[in-house]
Amino acid sequence: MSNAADAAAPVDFEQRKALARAITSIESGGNQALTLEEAALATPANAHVLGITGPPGAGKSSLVSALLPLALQRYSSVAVLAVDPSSAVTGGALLGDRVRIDYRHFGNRVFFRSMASRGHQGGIAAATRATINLLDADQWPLIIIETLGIGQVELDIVDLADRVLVVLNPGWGDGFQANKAGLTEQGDAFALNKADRPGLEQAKILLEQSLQCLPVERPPSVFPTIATDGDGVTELWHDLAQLLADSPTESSKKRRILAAREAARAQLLSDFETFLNCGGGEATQEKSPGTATDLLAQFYQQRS
Amino acid sequence: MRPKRILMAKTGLDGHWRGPTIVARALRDAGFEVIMIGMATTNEIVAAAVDEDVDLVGLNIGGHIDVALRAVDAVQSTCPDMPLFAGGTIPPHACKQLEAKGLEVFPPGSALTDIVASANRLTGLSSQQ
Ligand code: B12
Ligand SMILES: Nc1nc2c(ncn2[C@@H]2O[C@H](COP(=O)(O)OP(=O)(O)OP(=O)(O)O)[C@@H](O)[C@H]2O)c(=O)[nH]1
Ligand SMILES: [Mg+2]
Repeated sequence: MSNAADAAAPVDFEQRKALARAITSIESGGNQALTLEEAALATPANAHVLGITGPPGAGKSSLVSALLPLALQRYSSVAVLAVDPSSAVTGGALLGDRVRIDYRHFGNRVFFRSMASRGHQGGIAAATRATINLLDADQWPLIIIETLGIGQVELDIVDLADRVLVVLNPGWGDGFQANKAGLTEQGDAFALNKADRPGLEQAKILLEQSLQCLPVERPPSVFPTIATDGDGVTELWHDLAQLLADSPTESSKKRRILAAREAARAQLLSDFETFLNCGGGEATQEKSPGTATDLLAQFYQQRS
Repeated sequence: MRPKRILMAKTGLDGHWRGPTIVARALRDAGFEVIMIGMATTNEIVAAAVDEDVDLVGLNIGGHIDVALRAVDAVQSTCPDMPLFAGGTIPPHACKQLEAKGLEVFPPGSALTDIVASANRLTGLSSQQ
C-alpha cells in the first residue's frame, strides 16, 4: 500500500492501483476485508473525516466540487468517497457523483472513489467504514464522504465522521419538517444549497429556529450556497475547516475501531454458524467437551 | 459474486449525452456498477479507471477520433489488461482503427442487448465465443 503523495510529483499509478484494489477487496467483504481493516487500524494516522449528506439531488457532489480547491489550500491532499444507491432488483448501480466534479484540481492530490450501497441501509455502504480506515492509514489527511441521497433517518455517517455537513434546499419543508427528529439534530453545519431558488429566507429562518432549540452551546450555522457558481462556499468552508480543526483528536477513529471490532465479532459468529451447519457440527449439542474443542480447532484451521 | 464495475467516459467536448446515458442505464439494469465521468481528458480517464478499479472501460466517442485513440493508448499502457469498448457517432474508418487496438465498437443503431452481451464477455461473466 502507498502513501498519499506530495503535490508536485507526477501521479504514481502503481501506488494508486494498490490502494484502489485494496478498496475492492474491502468491498468484497469476508475475512480478507477484516484483515485489511485490522492492519489499517494498527497504522498510526489521524485523518479528518468530513461527511456530506442530504436528500437526493440537493447538490452534495456539486458542493464537494466547489469545496475541493478550498480544502486543498489547507490539506496537502484529499480523498473523496462518494456513495450512490444499488438497485434492489438487479444489483446494478449508476454511480454519477463524478459527473459533477471539476477535474482541474485532480492529480496526485485527490483520490476519488465511487461506491455502490450494495443493499446496505443507513446512507452508506457496508464497506464505507473500513474504506475510511484504509484511506486514513494511507495518510490522506482529509477524507470526504458523500452519502447517497438520504431521507430523514439514514444517518450512519454520523458515527464514522468527525463532522457532518447536511445539505438542504429552499422549499425543503415547513416548520414541521424543521422540528422533526433526525436530520436537523445531527449536522455540525448546514448548507441551504440552490440559494438561487425561491424560498431561501423562509427556509433559513425555520432551520435556524429549529437548530437553536438543540441542547448545545453553539448551534450549527446555516450557509446559503449556490454550489454551481461557488456563491457562499468560502464562508461554508471557513466554518467546516474550523469545526474539523476543533474536532476532538481521534474521536471518530475510536468509534470506527469499536465498530470494526463489532463487525469482526459478527463475522466470526456467522462463519462459525456456517461451519457448524455445513456438517462440521452435526449434533454438536450432544458432543463431549473434548469433541467440541476439536471442532473449534478444525474451524480455526479452516479460517486461517 | 461482487458486481463488475464499468467506467463510462466521453472523449472530447461534446454535448451528446443521450447515447452514453442510455447505454449506462442498460448496463445498470444488467447488474453492472457503472461509473459515469462525463467529458474527460485522457489523463482524467486513466486516473478514473485506476482509482475506481474498474473491470472495463467504455468510451463514448464524439468528433475527433485522434483524441479517442490517445485515450485508448493511455489506458492500455497504464492498465495493460484492461478491456475497452466504445460507441457513438464513429465513422467506419475510425471503427477499424479502434478495432485494430482490440476494442469492440458499437456504432449508432447497435442493439443494447449486444452491448450488454459484450460487457458480460469482456468482464468474464460469460465465456468468449
Ligand atoms: C440528438 C442529437 C443532438 C442533441 C444531443 C442531445 C443529448 N442530450 O444527447 C443536440 C441537439 C444537443 C445535438 C447537438 C449537436 N450535434 Co448532434 N446529433 C443528435 C442526433 C440526431 C442523435 C444522437 C442521439 O442521441 N442518438 C441516440 C443515441 C442512443 O444513439 P448514439 O449516441 O449513437 O448511441 C448508440 C451507439 O452509438 C452506442 N453507444 C454510444 N455511446 C456508447 C458508449 C459505449 C461504451 C458503448 C459500448 C456504446 C455506445 O450505443 C447507443 C445505442 O445503439 C445525431 C444524428 C444521429 N442520428 O445519430 C446528431 C449528431 C451526433 N450531431 C452532430 C453534430 C455535428 C452536432 C452539433 C455540433 C451541431 C449540429 N450540427 O447539430 C451539436 C454539438 C453540441 C455539442 N456541444 O456537443 C453530428 C456529429 C458528427 C460527428 N460524427 O462528429 C451528428 C451525427 C449529426 C450529423 N449527421 O451531422 N445533437
Ligand atoms: N440552480 C442550482 N442548481 C444546482 C446547485 N447545486 C447543484 N445544482 C444542480 O442540481 C443537480 C443535482 O446536483 P448534485 O450535485 O448531483 O446533487 P447530489 O446531492 O450530489 O445528488 P445525489 O448524489 O444524486 O443525491 C445538478 O443538476 C446540479 O447542477 C445550485 O446551487 N443551484
Ligand atoms: Mg451526488
